[in-house]
Amino acid sequence: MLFPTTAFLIFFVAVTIGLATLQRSYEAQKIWLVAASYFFYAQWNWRFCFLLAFSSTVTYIAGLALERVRTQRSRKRVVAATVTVHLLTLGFFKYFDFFVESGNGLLRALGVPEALPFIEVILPVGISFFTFHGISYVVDVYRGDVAVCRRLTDMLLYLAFFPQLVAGPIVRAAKFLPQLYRRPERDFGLAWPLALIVGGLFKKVVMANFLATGLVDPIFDDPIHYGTPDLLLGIYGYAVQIYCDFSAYTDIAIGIAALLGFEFPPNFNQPYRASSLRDFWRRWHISLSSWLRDYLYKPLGGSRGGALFTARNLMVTMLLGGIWHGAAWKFVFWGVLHGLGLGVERILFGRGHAEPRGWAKGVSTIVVFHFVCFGWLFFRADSFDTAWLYLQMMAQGSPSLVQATPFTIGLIVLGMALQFAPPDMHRRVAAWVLAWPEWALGAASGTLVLAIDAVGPDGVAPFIYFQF
Amino acid sequence: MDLPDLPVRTIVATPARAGRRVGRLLRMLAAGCLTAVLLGAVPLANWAASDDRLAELSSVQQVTTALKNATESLGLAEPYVWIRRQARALQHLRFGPPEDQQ
Repeated sequence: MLFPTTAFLIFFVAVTIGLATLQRSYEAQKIWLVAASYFFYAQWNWRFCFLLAFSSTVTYIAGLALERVRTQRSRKRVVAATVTVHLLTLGFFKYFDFFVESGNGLLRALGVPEALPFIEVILPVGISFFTFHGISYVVDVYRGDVAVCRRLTDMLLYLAFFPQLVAGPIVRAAKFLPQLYRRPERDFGLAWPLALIVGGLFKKVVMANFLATGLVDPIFDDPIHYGTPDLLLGIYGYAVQIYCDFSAYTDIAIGIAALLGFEFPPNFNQPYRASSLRDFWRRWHISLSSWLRDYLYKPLGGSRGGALFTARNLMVTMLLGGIWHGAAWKFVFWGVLHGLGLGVERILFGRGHAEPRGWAKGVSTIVVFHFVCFGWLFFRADSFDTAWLYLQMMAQGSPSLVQATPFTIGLIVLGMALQFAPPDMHRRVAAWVLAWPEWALGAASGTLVLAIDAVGPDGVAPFIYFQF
Repeated sequence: MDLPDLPVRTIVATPARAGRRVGRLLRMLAAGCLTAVLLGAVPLANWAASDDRLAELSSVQQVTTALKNATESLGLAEPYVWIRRQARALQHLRFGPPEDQQ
């Protein structure tokens, strides 16, 4: 069930009616939200609801165990065991085939005929996200950053809450669980969440979908038939597509959660205006990069040692961040590329270097954007070989331009313009309509959604980050 | 590596009564769905089936044929391919895909 569909609208209306019916009891509302979230998840594959329930239960029990055990050694064992269970589950579903395939390749190279058994494992949607939720909760309880969750319902809802279930943002337990202990006290109004949702729908249905079908997919499917300008625009197009696709999902998720009274953390902050790679990772998929920082980079030692020690930690963090995205060598390369970039930046400019100003900032922004685009080429290509072929075709310098149209180029320009628009654009839009009555906001949103649907191409492609 | 202070954190948030919030949300959803249903039911002209489409397609065809002839007479095949793709993209955008591709 995708956000930009009538099925989701019906689902959301049903959820809201249920909440209105149960508004006397917050506990009943939470149980209703758990049931709704599991129904939402079951639309992909109902069998994986058991996996989600298993992850939630393990996390819940680990929290209770951490409260009961006294010695530091036992507490560490509880954390290690829980993290191991989560990582093994993730590893099996996400990486089993990759390791078997890579192992078989190695065996063949060594002349060993025996092949490792190959099972076609189906990847449960959102497994990377709910696994990271579980790990962050257990580690935070261990560190004393969050109180132990005593109700299983709260834990089930924390891992399964439908707006963030399949593609984030990764919401920290310390931020979300307190919202479950007491009925949300804050009202975000209707205008700001609606601005996020309608804006997100436009970015996904119109911008990302048209760029995918009209430019990016044909070029990446068959790069051998295109000249340098098309191939270059294909990469720029993908940079804008993935931004519009993923930021749209999180905007809609944040908006839906806000309509229900919950606060999610921000996940994007105009990433292509970054003037350094460090700055880029503070703006792109913020909930993942801050998760990796707090649960991987800092435990490894962070920047407490010299420049080389920091560069090593950055490399390990980004390598694992790359592998988190998928079981393929292209993601390994993508992670290593960013790790190298961050490491070199750290060695050249030192810790906490000042932001460039004036023309230097402009040049840095352009260089960083192209570095990121180079990474996206490997991220998007079907395989490492395809990415390499893409680069070879670009180097041939054929001047033909057959795939890009003024319309798709216009979408790329619009996508880049969004990076330099006022950062509080949604709030400004919301301010215009803040005083409107709810029926007027509903009518305006209904009209806009219908218009977006009419303008967009037929069908809705799944969000890119669903595969992770 | 502190996170930037984003505007989404500072968006207007006021103390709320849950019942009021859900009630307003329901009224907004009802108005939105009603608007979408009403607007969706309005019989708009079917561009793809109208005579105008044929006329326009014909004129687009004439223009692209003239451009094709002109560019080929200059020994330039590539720009024609580009122009033809623009014309097709234009037709596709305005009228949807041709019937044989649907």
